[in-house]
Amino acid sequence: MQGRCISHMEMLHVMLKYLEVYTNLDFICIATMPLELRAGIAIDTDTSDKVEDGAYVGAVTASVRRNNDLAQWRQHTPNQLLILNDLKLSKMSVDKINRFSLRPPEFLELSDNVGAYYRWFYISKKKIKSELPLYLSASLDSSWWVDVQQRQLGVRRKAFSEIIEWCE
Amino acid sequence: MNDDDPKTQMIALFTKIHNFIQRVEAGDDGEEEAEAETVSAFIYTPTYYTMMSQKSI
Repeated sequence: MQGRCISHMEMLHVMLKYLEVYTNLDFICIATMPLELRAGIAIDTDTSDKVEDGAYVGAVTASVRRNNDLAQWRQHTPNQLLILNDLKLSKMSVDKINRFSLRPPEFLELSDNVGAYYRWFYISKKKIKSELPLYLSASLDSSWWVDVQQRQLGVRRKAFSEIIEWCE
Repeated sequence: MNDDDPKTQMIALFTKIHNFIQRVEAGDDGEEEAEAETVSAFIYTPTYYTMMSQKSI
């Protein structure tokens, strides 16, 4: 059995001569179902035959934060490290809820709203590697926001008005 | 609220960045280059604004 090549709505759209509308909005889908029901992509992690240096077992960011003497509230929580260790052994891609759980510790006290997190902040796709100790400093004003997966976060320029409104 | 409270510190940081952006947009040339460099690390400016799908959350 085969489904329709063109959906019903699309047919009506053409027949009724509705105007075409293009959006420049970027919609982010967040599955909030239990972990086993969240869709993911199978990835090749090669963790089984990879030899790890004993000094860096665990999260690199956790070691850097400890070594750079960051305040206690800027250290990763045991639960974050537990989630990361579990994800490292997983062959599935990291979903949005887990990524939210692995947010920079600076944001843990700020808000528990997943939607606001993805709406306000951009997470870079590239990992920060060897230069990480340079970017995580004890001074909050000059330290980058880096999550447990070593990805930098930035505030979306146009989200500032909402953030400031929320702060007030 | 305590000044050492993490949330207070983060709100102060957001306010500082926001004030800096407003100064720059207002054409204030008095900003220091070092401050501009520091603040730019926190800001991401896409070509479009990301919206959440209301259904997905």
